[in-house]
Amino acid sequence: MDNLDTIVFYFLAALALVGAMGILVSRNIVRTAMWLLATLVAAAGLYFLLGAAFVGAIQLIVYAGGTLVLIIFGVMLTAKNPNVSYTPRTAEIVLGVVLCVLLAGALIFVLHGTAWPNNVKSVEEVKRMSQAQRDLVGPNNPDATESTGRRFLGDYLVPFEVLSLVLLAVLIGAAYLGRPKVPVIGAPRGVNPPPGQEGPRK
Amino acid sequence: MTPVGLQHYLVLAAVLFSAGLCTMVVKRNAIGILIGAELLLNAANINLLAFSKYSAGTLDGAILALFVIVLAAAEVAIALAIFLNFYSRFASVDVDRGDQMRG
Repeated sequence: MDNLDTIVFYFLAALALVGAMGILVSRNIVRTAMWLLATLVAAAGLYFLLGAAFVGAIQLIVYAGGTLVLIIFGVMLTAKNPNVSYTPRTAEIVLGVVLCVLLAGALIFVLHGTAWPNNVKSVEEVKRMSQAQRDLVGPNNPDATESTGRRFLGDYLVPFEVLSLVLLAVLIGAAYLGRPKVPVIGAPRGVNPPPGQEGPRK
Repeated sequence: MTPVGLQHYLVLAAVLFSAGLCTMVVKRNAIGILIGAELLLNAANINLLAFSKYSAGTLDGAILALFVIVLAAAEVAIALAIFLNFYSRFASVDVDRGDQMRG
């Protein structure tokens, strides 16, 4: 079982890294989006492996299913001009790669020199807990998804409700920013600005 | 093979984070930069869940990861709306052309 976990981890880690490198080197923005799909799916697999099945499912539904489709729509709406090239300058590439190799090296160096505390409760300890105590525990919790729901409507209620307000603000803001700037031919009443109030046409 | 532990996940997330930062530095296409930011957020999420499982032992990592996922979706929606405005102004999403925006 441990051996299988190890194999699955290395497979998913390799998939995530290949996807990340693909994002980094790919020149075509549609291919970049497809490599992002590989990384997102690998990350979802890692969440399942880490025992967070609910987060993995949400990652697949919201990220791979929603956010990525939004990005691909953005690609399609902004890639109509064939005369534009997005090739970066060589100096920028060298500077960026050197910076990020240094960052990765520094992070890995620090990670290997740090002893992290281990406060994980075993399966037996979790079994002996009361329901309220068990809701706080992530790993070895047999009904972690149920506990997640109870925490969201318990001590995380205020952030949860603020998040719903943020989503409403984003909905209105995105619709406002994305409104048509030039009159739409054949649009129903109310979509186009009234005559005399159109903005300057570029 | 040594069993997979916290270090493995942290190293993976560190490399993903660096790759995402490099993408943000190197790309000139605004949507490429957005994809790099998604990579950063995913690396952070992997860290949150790895610490939740191997170090803290609490559910807070998973809850914070869910918040991150929702906020990433909101960020993409707003960023794409801004890029569409940028595109209708400059006929490209090359961020280097943003220096023509004054005031």
